[in-house]
Amino acid sequence: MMKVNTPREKKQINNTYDIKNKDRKEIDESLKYASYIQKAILPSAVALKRLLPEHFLIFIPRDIVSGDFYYLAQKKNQLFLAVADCTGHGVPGAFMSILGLTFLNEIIHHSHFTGAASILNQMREKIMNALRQTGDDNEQKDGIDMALGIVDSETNKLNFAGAFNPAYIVKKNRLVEMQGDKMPVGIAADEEKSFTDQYCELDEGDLIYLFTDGFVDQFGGPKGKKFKYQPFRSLILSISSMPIHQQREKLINIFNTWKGNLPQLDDVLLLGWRYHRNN
Amino acid sequence: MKLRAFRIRNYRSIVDTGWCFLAFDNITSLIGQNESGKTSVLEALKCFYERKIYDDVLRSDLSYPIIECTFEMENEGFHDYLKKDILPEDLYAELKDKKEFSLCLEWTGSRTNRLTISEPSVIKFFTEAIQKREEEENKISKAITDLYAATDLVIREMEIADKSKQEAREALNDAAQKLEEARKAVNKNKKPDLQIMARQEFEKMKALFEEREKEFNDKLQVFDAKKNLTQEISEKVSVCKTYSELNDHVRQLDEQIIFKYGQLKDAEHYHDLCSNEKERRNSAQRLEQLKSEYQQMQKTSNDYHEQLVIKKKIASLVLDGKKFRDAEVESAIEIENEKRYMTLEEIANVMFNHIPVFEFFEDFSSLLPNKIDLEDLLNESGMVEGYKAAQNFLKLAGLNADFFREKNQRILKQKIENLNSDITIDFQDYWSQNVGKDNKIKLNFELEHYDYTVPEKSGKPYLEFWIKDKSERLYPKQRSRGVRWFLSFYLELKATAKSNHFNRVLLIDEPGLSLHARAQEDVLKVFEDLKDKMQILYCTHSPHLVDPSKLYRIMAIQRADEDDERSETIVMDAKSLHEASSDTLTPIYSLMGARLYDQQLIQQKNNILVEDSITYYYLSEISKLFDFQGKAFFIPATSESNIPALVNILIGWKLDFTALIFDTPQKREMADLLRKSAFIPGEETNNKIIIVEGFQRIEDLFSTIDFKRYVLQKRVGITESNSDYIAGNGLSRMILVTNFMNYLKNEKVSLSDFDDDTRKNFKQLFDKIKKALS
Repeated sequence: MMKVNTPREKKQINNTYDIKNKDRKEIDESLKYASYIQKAILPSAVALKRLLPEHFLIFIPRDIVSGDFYYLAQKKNQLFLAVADCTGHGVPGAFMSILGLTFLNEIIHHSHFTGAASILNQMREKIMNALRQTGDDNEQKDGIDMALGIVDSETNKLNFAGAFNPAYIVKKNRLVEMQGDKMPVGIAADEEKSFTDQYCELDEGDLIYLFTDGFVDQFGGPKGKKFKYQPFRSLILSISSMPIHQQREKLINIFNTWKGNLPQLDDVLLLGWRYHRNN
Repeated sequence: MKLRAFRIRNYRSIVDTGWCFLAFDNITSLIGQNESGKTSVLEALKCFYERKIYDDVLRSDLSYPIIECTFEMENEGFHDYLKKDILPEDLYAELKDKKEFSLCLEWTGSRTNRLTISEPSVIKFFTEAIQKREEEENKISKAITDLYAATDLVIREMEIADKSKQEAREALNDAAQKLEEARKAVNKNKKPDLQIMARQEFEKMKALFEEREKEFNDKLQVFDAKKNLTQEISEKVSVCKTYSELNDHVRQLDEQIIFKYGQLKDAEHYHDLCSNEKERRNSAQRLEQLKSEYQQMQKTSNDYHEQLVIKKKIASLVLDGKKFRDAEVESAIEIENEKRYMTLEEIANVMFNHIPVFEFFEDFSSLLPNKIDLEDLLNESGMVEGYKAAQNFLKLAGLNADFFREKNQRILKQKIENLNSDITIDFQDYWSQNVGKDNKIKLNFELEHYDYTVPEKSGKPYLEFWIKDKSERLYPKQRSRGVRWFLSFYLELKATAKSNHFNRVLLIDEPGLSLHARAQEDVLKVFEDLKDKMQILYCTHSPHLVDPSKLYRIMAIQRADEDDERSETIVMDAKSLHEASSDTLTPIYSLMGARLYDQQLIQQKNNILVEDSITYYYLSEISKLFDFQGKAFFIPATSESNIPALVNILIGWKLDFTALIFDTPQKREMADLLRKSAFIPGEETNNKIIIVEGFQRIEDLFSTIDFKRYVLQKRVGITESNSDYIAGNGLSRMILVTNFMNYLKNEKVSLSDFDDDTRKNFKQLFDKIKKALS
């Protein structure tokens, strides 16, 4: 039997709702403000356009703030680009992303490194140090999955290293996958090993795709299953011949269609870039 | 200004030392056996400074000594000593910023020498000037010969012209006579036809006369031209002849001056040798006479030289076609306006006047007296016993006559007491020996006055000296000879250091022969204290007078053939010590104990000196993984600061080595010091010193991941260099290396287990070592 609240009780309940709504509003405003800050520390659209003239970026945070981030920097003839996915999403992920961006920037601009793997190695040390990770069972295993590429415009070579995340290169209608190492940038169950440097020669018009797992892990479709990597690779290959802005529209449409009414599971981040040789 | 290097030739047993460089930190020791020629080096330098030699320094082939010294100017330069307007502008510009110069003193006879500056730009300038002068002289002398030949020809031509002129004159006279006769015939013949004929004859004669007259005038003109030419040539001959005769005369005079200078130097030498007053008086008279003659001759010579310059100039102008009178005026103006530049010898002499004072200390025989009259000290009565030592004592104490004029005896006594305390404290800093267990000696002086027991000096002040210890108060003469010698040495050197002349080179022959080993080490302390104020060059064969950690200060002196005392002396500086014989290096060997390499602890070759035992352990273990074992022998120093000492030891033992130095500013400084002190300047030191660039310690050669896994054996985030992490977390390097060695042993780790960075870093290191050893 349904309990009928007295007017006094109703008033109390209404008051509680009001307070909760007020708190919720304040939190939302805070998060909104935090999202501005997060956007401000990510590379600007102008910078992206300047350094990657023919590119697209899909960045759909699940919440107001995101645990995914992307990075772009130029140092002499080297272009550094990364997409990363921090443990968790929302606020905790956003904190990690700020940590990750700061460390990445610090290493690239102020440390000595020999390649992409060396950057990830150093970044892992910094994260372990910051989070005081020593491999104890009780500690938080926070970390970052990441794809990092260094493109040398003189040699036209891509140096890639990945923490779980791969990179796809589409060359003449053929997709080349550069797999990431099976370890995060942060503490893992196994003892630290060096990340692996991989290299790929870039030809005129080659397409480079870096992404986090938000797209492929999204549940949806007729059976409410994950999108998965194999269909994603086929999708990338199928759209690769399109102009770059059309690729973006196509991917967003397919993602939205796939997701349907199901909630977005994770932040979605995908960067595509058509490479043009200097000479 | 500092003495940087010397080169001695033809001095006693020395044929040629080659250039020998003094230690950069101002203490240089010459080691070698007796009769090896150590003292000769010091004496030769003394001769350089005094610019005189004695007959006994000449070698059997009677070749004269040549002594060269290179000086380094520190805060000064040529421009401080040579005025701008006494050197040609180009030469001055080239010289003014130079920091080094060499002076060469070359004896031309037993008493005569020539000092020149061996600066290439100066030599070039003067060589060119001499060439120019010789060319001028040659031009004049050649001109004289040519002119003589030309004179003969011209005179002959003039004679011919004269004869032609005479003949023309006679023909003219003849024609005139005939013309006169024809004129008379015209006047005489009244008949028209005869008159016509006579007039025709007259006209004919008149034409002949005019022709003869013209011929005569032509001949006369030729004759006058020849006459003028003869006169002109005679004038030139006369001018050149005057110059040539004066030149010969000046040369003769110069030779006479050199001879007179030799006589003067002989007389000075004789004067120095005079043993009694009478001889000294006579020799002084002779010396004065010779000096006056020499000065007179020099004055005359200077006048003649001035005239010679004028005559040469006139001759040169006359030869160029100027008239004598014009040339005279022009040369006077030119000489008036011409700048007077310094000669090569004058430049050398100016620079010589600014070189450090070379002081030769053969012994320190003036021992401190028991007492000395104040009057003798103040009147500088050098012959009084112990005068020099007492004077040094006063100089060191900073005392002069004014000090003793203090009327108030109580104040004076207090001042003396304070001074005694100061001097004693300073002396005790150097004299480390105790009398008994811990009884240090003290120096004291007191001002006393003679009493009635010495009636002739009654009331006069005298200074009394004491050397006290806890139990005794003894006069200096009651102390051992060793103490007195050291005291005298201490006083002399400290007093010298205190004198105004800052630049000094002390040449000390066998200091501290009579001292105990420990006291000999005290001598070194005195040197160390003085080295910032003066340069010290001493010879010794005592191991206690050599600092084993500073073998770069050593020059080894030995005979070319060690079994032949008459063979030539050779000098090896620190960089070539390994070439010296074992006997020569005995003081060093005595210091270092047994021959290390005889015990196989260190190998003859392929020794790699590393900074500490931790580095040694890491390298020993990793070299096994790289299959590098046995190719190099790692020798650990107890810390990086001891590497220089070990380098010196290895040089001393003639062992081949390479120092492996990690990269910090301090260690780089040390490497620079080693390059400067242990190796020849400019010598390729890449094989002798390896700097592991970019790595502060050996642990930094591991990648962070390998460092954590194999060395630290702990999972932790490291955001700095491995060595900084160790230092920052207060970890023991020794424990870490022990853990590393155990891990390698227990886990059977192979090279491939390390990551690329670690392998690359160590490979690069071993490649560098291999290259250095090859």
